[in-house]
Amino acid sequence: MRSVGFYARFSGEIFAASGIVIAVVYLYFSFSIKVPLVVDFLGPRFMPLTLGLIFLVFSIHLLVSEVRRKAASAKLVVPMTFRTVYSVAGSAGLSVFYFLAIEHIGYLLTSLVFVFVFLVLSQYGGIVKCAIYAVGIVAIFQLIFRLLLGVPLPTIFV
Amino acid sequence: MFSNMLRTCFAGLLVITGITALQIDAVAEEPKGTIKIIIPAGPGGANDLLARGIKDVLVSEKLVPNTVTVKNRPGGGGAVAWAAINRHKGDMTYLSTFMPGILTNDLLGASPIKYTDMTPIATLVFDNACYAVNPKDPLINSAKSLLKALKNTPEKIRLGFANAAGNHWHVAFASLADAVGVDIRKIPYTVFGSGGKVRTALLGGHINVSSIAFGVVSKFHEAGKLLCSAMATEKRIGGRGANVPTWKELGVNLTYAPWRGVLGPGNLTAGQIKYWEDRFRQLTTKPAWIKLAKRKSWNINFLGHKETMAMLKSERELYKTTLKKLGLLK
Amino acid sequence: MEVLSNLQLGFAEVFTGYNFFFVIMGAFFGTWIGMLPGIGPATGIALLLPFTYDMDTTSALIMLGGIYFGAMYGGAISSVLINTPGDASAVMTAIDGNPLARKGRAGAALFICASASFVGGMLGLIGLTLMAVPLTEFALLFGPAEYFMMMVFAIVATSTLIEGSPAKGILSGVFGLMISTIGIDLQSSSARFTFGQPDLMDGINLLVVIIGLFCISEAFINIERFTTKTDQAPMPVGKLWITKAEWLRSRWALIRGAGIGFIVGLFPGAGGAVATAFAYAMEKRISPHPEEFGKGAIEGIAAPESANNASVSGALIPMLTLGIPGSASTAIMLGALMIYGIEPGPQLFQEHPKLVWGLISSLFVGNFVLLILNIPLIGLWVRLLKIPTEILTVIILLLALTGSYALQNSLADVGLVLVFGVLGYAMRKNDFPTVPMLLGVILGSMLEQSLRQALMLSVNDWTIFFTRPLCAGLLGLSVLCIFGPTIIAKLRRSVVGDPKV
Repeated sequence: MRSVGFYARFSGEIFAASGIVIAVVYLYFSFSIKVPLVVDFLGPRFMPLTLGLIFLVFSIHLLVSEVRRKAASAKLVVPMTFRTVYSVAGSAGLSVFYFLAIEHIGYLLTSLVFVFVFLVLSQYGGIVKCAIYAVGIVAIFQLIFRLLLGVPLPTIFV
Repeated sequence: MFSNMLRTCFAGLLVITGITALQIDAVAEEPKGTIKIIIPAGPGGANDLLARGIKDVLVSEKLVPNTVTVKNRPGGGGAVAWAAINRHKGDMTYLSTFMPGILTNDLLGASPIKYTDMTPIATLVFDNACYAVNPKDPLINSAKSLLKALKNTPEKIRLGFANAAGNHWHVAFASLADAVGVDIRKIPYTVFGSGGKVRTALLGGHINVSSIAFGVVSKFHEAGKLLCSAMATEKRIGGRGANVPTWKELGVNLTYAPWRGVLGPGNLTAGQIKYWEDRFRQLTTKPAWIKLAKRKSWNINFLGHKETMAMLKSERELYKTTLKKLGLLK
Repeated sequence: MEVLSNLQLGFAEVFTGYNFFFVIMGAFFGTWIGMLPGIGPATGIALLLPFTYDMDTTSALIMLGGIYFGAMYGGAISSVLINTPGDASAVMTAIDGNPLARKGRAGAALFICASASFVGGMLGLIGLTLMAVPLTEFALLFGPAEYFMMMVFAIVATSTLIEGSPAKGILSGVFGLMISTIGIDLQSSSARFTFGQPDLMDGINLLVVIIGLFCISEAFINIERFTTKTDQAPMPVGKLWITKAEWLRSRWALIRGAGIGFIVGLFPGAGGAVATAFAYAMEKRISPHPEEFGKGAIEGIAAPESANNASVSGALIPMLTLGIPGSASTAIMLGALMIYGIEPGPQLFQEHPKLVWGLISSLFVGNFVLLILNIPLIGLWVRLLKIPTEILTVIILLLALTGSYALQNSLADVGLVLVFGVLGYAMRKNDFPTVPMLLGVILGSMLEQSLRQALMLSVNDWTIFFTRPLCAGLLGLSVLCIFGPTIIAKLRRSVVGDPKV
């Protein structure tokens, strides 16, 4: 299995760089916070501005030290493979599907599909075994959340 | 013949439309599921007492068949709680309380929520505005020393109130300052998340005066731990507050009474409003409510949806003028 | 003695009618609810509260006491077994509990959890019984300035936990604080970083952060494990009981944890999260083998778990005597008290002695019940580990998604949980600690509000943080936390001589 070269090599830098971007965006929006006419000494902007600045300084610090560290030793330490990335990204994608679908096709159906697809993709067992497990798990969830705790989970039948 | 048929049809249509229109007007929609009352302040304050009182009477008098829950969401002078229920626009199972802060928040220009974004349902009570001090404080421990401090050393006053700058409690104190000719902007103040927290800060001596609802401090007043120095009411209120003078008695021309009511999220239909308006109209006539109001020092003052909307509109102008006069608004 | 007659009154109440039965039911259901990842005592009580509505007030409160301790123990179980703390105060238990379980000592980890909960709970309750009334006066001395220094102290003290790069720890903590600024500002009611979205106006729910950062990212890490086949074999179950050496190592940690927990719990707002963090940091500081912490040190489980249960009793003092809840869970207990028409305050002990002492006694009884109930069940809990990783992972994911919806019946929370889940996963892959971020989210708004309130009271005079005695004391403690270890090391070197040279 090939390793995911680019991301593994630069993940530290990518993280630090995104930190800088987050800090800048955060600071930009800190300035647009409305200040009411009657306000305490520090006001609503003080804390965000302070936090944004600290975040910016440490992100830059991190970026610099990451680059230096890499220059010192060009060794790759993150054992990431395509398969890992795909399976994690796949389950994240499946969760996003869950989030988008639940409103339209209801809790029951979404959860059934979610558990079933997850188990099939993770090669847990045959289609039938996965289906049985999916039905079982979702049934227990229905019992706990809808019946026992009375959470109004979304349904298709309004 | 043909025209006759047409006319009959037309009349029939009219009747049907009329009936439907009538039904829309008359049929109240009922809430399904748990009723969730979100309190726009922390535990222990006036909003908290009111919301929990509403819940108790709704349940004990069986005004609603549903389960009723209450939850505190303090912050932003109520805006956090109102934002929380406005996540469920058009859902009549969410309720919250409101007070003049809903107007001043928006007048002062920071709050993202206006009363028109919500659905005010009814006005229920108005408070007895009390000026509480700590009897152990060396500077301010009575109405007399409060007035003296206001005139001579306003910078030494530490005013605390719930739960937003420039709100009704700020106005309540500013009106007192104004009545004795002192600029409110000279008086240091601190905002707390609820009347309960104000009370604790006053007990601990971190602040030395607070404008607060009498119901929040009445027990402490009775126990002698705090002193309600005076009240901004027309007459003495009796009960636990029987020994508290009014400002008028003390020669200060000041009366002030913040109102409180109940609101729902935005976009409630006429039927939904009607349901709640009816329930709250019934609630205010129940002996249990009247007894509770006496204990909590509320003055019952019911206004329905339409009257409340009109009241809010005129009060908004009034607060605008008051805030300008007090120098809290340019 | 007055205390004894009070307790007698309380115990009489507990053994009246079905009340004893309610304690057992509460402890049992509390444990099950607490085990669900992302559902801690606070959510657990909130979820089970409706079931007590039809009961009489004392019975309901007695049952709630059982649920409370039960849910805390349940949270410890899920922390240890599947590394998914139910709430903020169970986070510290997971740090060493889970590695110990991975070593095949899950039984020992759960055993020490049960005994630590028991010891901490008991010592805390004794403290509560004796000190409830006198300590009320002391709590009043805490004003905004003191609260602020308390928060600073909490953050400094917990930052000693951070492994690896301090820059990463600070970034993580500050990011948590930044998240806490989202929503309507509590002081000025300005909307901050909401972009007009109503779902963001009331801020980001703490539990959403917890579920995302811990549960979802844990599921992703699990997926990685079983796809790369690095951890295909299920965790070994191993011996159930702890060894004598382990017991000797942890017994004083139990007592110290209880002491810290009780004292921290007294401070309104600090709550279990800070108490457990303190207890853990302290154990690590004084331990002769700090390198074992984070890898399954038994003291690292005993101290926070004991502190957690003791902090409950501590937090009950300001809750009962002042009506100030010390933590999310006590806030819900306070809500429950009020639901039943009881207003906590200085008069509560005089007005409702049966109820207050009944509650305290039921906590004593609940503690015993939990110990008796859970020690024999450890075998059952540990067997949960034999569930195949695929099934466990999909259950964790589905629970996290369903649980986050159940918080406020809001789909937006489900989306946010996913965002925090992906973030948590990325952070863990890049060696960013997630605990400081969580602490930032928990303490953020309190830190900011108390700073601003303190400065309003002092009329923009920053020297109050040095001149007020309690502030100065807390500041001194914070400084000691930062420089203490270096100074002690230097002193030792100058006396004994540097061993390295």
